[in-house]
Amino acid sequence: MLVLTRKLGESIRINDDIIVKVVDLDGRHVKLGIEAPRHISVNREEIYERIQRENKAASGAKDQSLKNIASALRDKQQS
Amino acid sequence: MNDFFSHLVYSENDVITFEAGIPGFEQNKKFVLVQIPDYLPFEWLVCVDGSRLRFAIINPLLFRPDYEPAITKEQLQELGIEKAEDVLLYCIVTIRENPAESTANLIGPVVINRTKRVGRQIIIDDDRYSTQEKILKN
Repeated sequence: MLVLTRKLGESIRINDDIIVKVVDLDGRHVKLGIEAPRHISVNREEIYERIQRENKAASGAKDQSLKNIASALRDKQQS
Repeated sequence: MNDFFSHLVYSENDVITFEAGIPGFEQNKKFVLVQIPDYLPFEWLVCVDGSRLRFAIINPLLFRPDYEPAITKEQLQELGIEKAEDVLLYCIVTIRENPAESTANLIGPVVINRTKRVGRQIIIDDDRYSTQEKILKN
Protein backbone atom coordinates (compact mmCIF):
# COMPACT_ATOMS: atom_id res chain seq x y z
CA MET A 1 0.00 0.00 0.00
CA LEU A 2 1.21 3.46 -0.90
CA VAL A 3 1.21 5.72 2.15
CA LEU A 4 1.34 9.49 1.70
CA THR A 5 1.37 12.18 4.38
CA ARG A 6 -1.07 15.03 3.78
CA LYS A 7 -2.03 18.12 5.78
CA LEU A 8 -5.50 19.55 6.19
CA GLY A 9 -6.63 20.98 2.86
CA GLU A 10 -4.11 19.00 0.83
CA SER A 11 -5.05 16.43 -1.76
CA ILE A 12 -3.81 13.51 -3.73
CA ARG A 13 -4.66 12.88 -7.35
CA ILE A 14 -5.25 9.43 -8.77
CA ASN A 15 -4.89 9.22 -12.54
CA ASP A 16 -5.97 12.40 -14.28
CA ASP A 17 -9.39 12.63 -12.88
CA ILE A 18 -9.69 11.53 -9.25
CA ILE A 19 -8.91 13.87 -6.37
CA VAL A 20 -9.03 12.91 -2.73
CA LYS A 21 -8.77 15.86 -0.35
CA VAL A 22 -8.46 16.04 3.43
CA VAL A 23 -11.24 18.49 4.25
CA ASP A 24 -11.44 18.17 8.01
CA LEU A 25 -9.64 16.63 10.97
CA ASP A 26 -11.25 16.02 14.32
CA GLY A 27 -9.46 13.78 16.78
CA ARG A 28 -9.51 10.30 15.25
CA HIS A 29 -11.86 11.35 12.46
CA VAL A 30 -10.70 12.40 9.04
CA LYS A 31 -13.14 13.88 6.59
CA LEU A 32 -12.26 13.23 2.96
CA GLY A 33 -13.64 14.95 -0.09
CA ILE A 34 -13.58 12.93 -3.28
CA GLU A 35 -13.92 14.25 -6.80
CA ALA A 36 -14.24 11.53 -9.40
CA PRO A 37 -15.94 10.95 -12.74
CA ARG A 38 -19.46 9.70 -12.34
CA HIS A 39 -18.72 6.15 -13.48
CA ILE A 40 -16.39 5.74 -10.50
CA SER A 41 -18.34 4.40 -7.59
CA VAL A 42 -17.15 5.62 -4.22
CA ASN A 43 -18.30 3.92 -1.03
CA ARG A 44 -17.24 3.43 2.53
CA GLU A 45 -15.36 0.14 2.58
CA GLU A 46 -17.50 -1.49 5.27
CA ILE A 47 -20.70 -0.77 3.32
CA TYR A 48 -19.23 -2.29 0.17
CA GLU A 49 -18.20 -5.36 2.15
CA ARG A 50 -21.68 -5.70 3.62
CA ILE A 51 -23.17 -5.68 0.13
CA GLN A 52 -20.62 -8.25 -1.05
CA ARG A 53 -21.40 -10.51 1.91
CA GLU A 54 -25.14 -10.21 1.41
CA ASN A 55 -24.82 -10.94 -2.31
CA LYS A 56 -22.81 -14.05 -1.53
CA ALA A 57 -25.41 -15.21 0.99
CA ALA A 58 -28.19 -14.49 -1.52
CA SER A 59 -26.48 -16.42 -4.31
CA GLY A 60 -26.49 -19.61 -2.28
CA ALA A 61 -30.26 -19.51 -1.89
CA LYS A 62 -32.39 -22.62 -2.00
CA ASP A 63 -34.99 -21.82 -4.61
CA GLN A 64 -37.77 -24.20 -3.64
CA SER A 65 -38.51 -22.60 -0.28
CA LEU A 66 -39.33 -19.31 -1.96
CA LYS A 67 -42.56 -20.71 -3.40
CA ASN A 68 -44.46 -20.51 -0.11
CA ILE A 69 -43.52 -16.96 0.66
CA ALA A 70 -44.26 -16.05 -2.97
CA SER A 71 -47.81 -17.30 -2.65
CA ALA A 72 -48.21 -15.53 0.71
CA LEU A 73 -47.16 -12.27 -0.96
CA ARG A 74 -49.53 -12.83 -3.88
CA ASP A 75 -52.41 -13.38 -1.45
CA LYS A 76 -51.50 -10.17 0.31
CA GLN A 77 -51.41 -8.22 -2.95
CA GLN A 78 -54.87 -9.44 -3.86
CA SER A 79 -56.42 -8.63 -0.50
CA MET B 1 -35.75 -25.93 -10.97
CA ASN B 2 -32.00 -26.34 -11.48
CA ASP B 3 -32.82 -27.96 -14.74
CA PHE B 4 -35.02 -25.05 -15.67
CA PHE B 5 -32.20 -22.55 -15.26
CA SER B 6 -29.60 -24.61 -17.04
CA HIS B 7 -31.88 -24.91 -20.09
CA LEU B 8 -32.93 -21.31 -20.16
CA VAL B 9 -34.11 -20.10 -23.55
CA TYR B 10 -33.37 -16.45 -24.24
CA SER B 11 -32.25 -14.20 -27.06
CA GLU B 12 -29.31 -11.80 -27.17
CA ASN B 13 -31.81 -8.95 -26.82
CA ASP B 14 -32.77 -10.25 -23.39
CA VAL B 15 -29.26 -9.97 -22.02
CA ILE B 16 -28.66 -7.19 -19.49
CA THR B 17 -25.06 -6.10 -19.06
CA PHE B 18 -23.76 -5.24 -15.60
CA GLU B 19 -20.52 -3.56 -16.62
CA ALA B 20 -19.20 -3.53 -13.06
CA GLY B 21 -20.51 -6.99 -12.24
CA ILE B 22 -22.22 -7.36 -8.89
CA PRO B 23 -20.20 -6.75 -5.70
CA GLY B 24 -18.81 -10.12 -4.69
CA PHE B 25 -19.22 -11.33 -8.29
CA GLU B 26 -17.38 -8.63 -10.17
CA GLN B 27 -16.55 -10.98 -13.07
CA ASN B 28 -20.19 -11.83 -13.84
CA LYS B 29 -21.57 -9.25 -16.22
CA LYS B 30 -24.29 -10.85 -18.34
CA PHE B 31 -27.71 -11.59 -16.87
CA VAL B 32 -31.27 -12.21 -17.98
CA LEU B 33 -34.48 -11.56 -16.05
CA VAL B 34 -36.63 -14.63 -15.59
CA GLN B 35 -40.22 -14.80 -14.36
CA ILE B 36 -41.71 -18.09 -13.22
CA PRO B 37 -45.44 -17.96 -12.33
CA ASP B 38 -45.11 -20.03 -9.12
CA TYR B 39 -42.48 -17.67 -7.79
CA LEU B 40 -44.02 -14.31 -8.62
CA PRO B 41 -43.73 -11.60 -7.32
CA PHE B 42 -40.17 -12.86 -6.99
CA GLU B 43 -38.19 -12.86 -10.19
CA TRP B 44 -34.75 -14.17 -11.02
CA LEU B 45 -31.62 -12.46 -12.19
CA VAL B 46 -29.81 -15.30 -13.88
CA CYS B 47 -26.21 -15.09 -15.00
CA VAL B 48 -25.72 -16.33 -18.55
CA ASP B 49 -21.97 -16.23 -18.91
CA GLY B 50 -21.53 -19.89 -18.06
CA SER B 51 -21.60 -19.67 -14.28
CA ARG B 52 -24.55 -21.01 -12.29
CA LEU B 53 -24.98 -17.73 -10.48
CA ARG B 54 -28.50 -16.46 -9.95
CA PHE B 55 -30.32 -14.20 -7.56
CA ALA B 56 -33.93 -14.09 -6.45
CA ILE B 57 -35.05 -10.47 -6.74
CA ILE B 58 -38.16 -8.50 -5.92
CA ASN B 59 -39.56 -5.07 -6.59
CA PRO B 60 -39.02 -3.50 -3.15
CA LEU B 61 -42.09 -1.27 -3.48
CA LEU B 62 -44.25 -4.39 -3.19
CA PHE B 63 -43.38 -4.79 0.49
CA ARG B 64 -41.94 -1.34 1.28
CA PRO B 65 -44.18 1.12 -0.58
CA ASP B 66 -42.33 3.99 1.13
CA TYR B 67 -38.92 2.87 -0.17
CA GLU B 68 -37.02 5.86 -1.54
CA PRO B 69 -33.46 4.96 -2.45
CA ALA B 70 -31.32 8.06 -2.91
CA ILE B 71 -30.14 7.27 -6.41
CA THR B 72 -28.41 10.25 -7.95
CA LYS B 73 -29.07 11.84 -11.31
CA GLU B 74 -25.52 10.92 -12.31
CA GLN B 75 -26.11 7.27 -11.49
CA LEU B 76 -29.25 7.27 -13.63
CA GLN B 77 -27.41 9.06 -16.44
CA GLU B 78 -24.66 6.52 -16.32
CA LEU B 79 -27.25 3.83 -17.07
CA GLY B 80 -28.63 5.98 -19.88
CA ILE B 81 -31.92 6.39 -18.05
CA GLU B 82 -33.91 9.33 -19.40
CA LYS B 83 -37.45 8.58 -18.39
CA ALA B 84 -39.20 6.70 -15.61
CA GLU B 85 -40.44 4.03 -18.02
CA ASP B 86 -36.83 2.96 -18.67
CA VAL B 87 -36.30 1.93 -15.06
CA LEU B 88 -36.68 -1.43 -13.44
CA LEU B 89 -35.98 -1.41 -9.71
CA TYR B 90 -35.26 -4.58 -7.76
CA CYS B 91 -33.67 -5.68 -4.54
CA ILE B 92 -31.77 -8.92 -4.13
CA VAL B 93 -33.43 -11.47 -1.87
CA THR B 94 -31.64 -13.71 0.60
CA ILE B 95 -33.73 -16.82 1.14
CA ARG B 96 -33.41 -17.97 4.75
CA GLU B 97 -33.60 -21.43 6.28
CA ASN B 98 -37.09 -20.46 7.40
CA PRO B 99 -38.42 -18.89 4.18
CA ALA B 100 -40.74 -16.60 6.13
CA GLU B 101 -37.59 -14.92 7.50
CA SER B 102 -36.30 -14.13 4.01
CA THR B 103 -34.86 -10.68 3.55
CA ALA B 104 -34.15 -8.18 0.81
CA ASN B 105 -31.14 -5.92 0.51
CA LEU B 106 -32.45 -2.36 0.48
CA ILE B 107 -28.98 -0.81 0.70
CA GLY B 108 -28.04 -2.31 -2.66
CA PRO B 109 -30.93 -1.82 -5.07
CA VAL B 110 -30.47 -3.20 -8.56
CA VAL B 111 -31.34 -0.61 -11.18
CA ILE B 112 -31.88 -1.72 -14.76
CA ASN B 113 -32.43 0.32 -17.89
CA ARG B 114 -34.82 -1.98 -19.68
CA THR B 115 -34.49 -0.11 -22.96
CA LYS B 116 -30.70 -0.07 -23.14
CA ARG B 117 -30.36 -3.42 -21.32
CA VAL B 118 -27.79 -2.28 -18.78
CA GLY B 119 -27.88 -2.56 -15.03
CA ARG B 120 -26.00 -1.88 -11.86
CA GLN B 121 -26.27 -2.62 -8.18
CA ILE B 122 -26.15 0.80 -6.63
CA ILE B 123 -25.01 1.20 -3.05
CA ILE B 124 -27.01 3.71 -1.07
CA ASP B 125 -25.53 4.79 2.21
CA ASP B 126 -28.78 5.30 4.11
CA ASP B 127 -29.42 4.43 7.77
CA ARG B 128 -33.15 4.00 7.17
CA TYR B 129 -32.53 0.76 5.30
CA SER B 130 -30.59 -2.42 5.86
CA THR B 131 -29.07 -5.22 3.79
CA GLN B 132 -31.46 -7.59 5.56
CA GLU B 133 -34.95 -6.14 5.46
CA LYS B 134 -37.61 -8.73 6.24
CA ILE B 135 -40.00 -9.16 3.34
CA LEU B 136 -42.92 -10.67 5.24
CA LYS B 137 -43.96 -8.54 8.16
CA ASN B 138 -45.31 -10.40 11.17
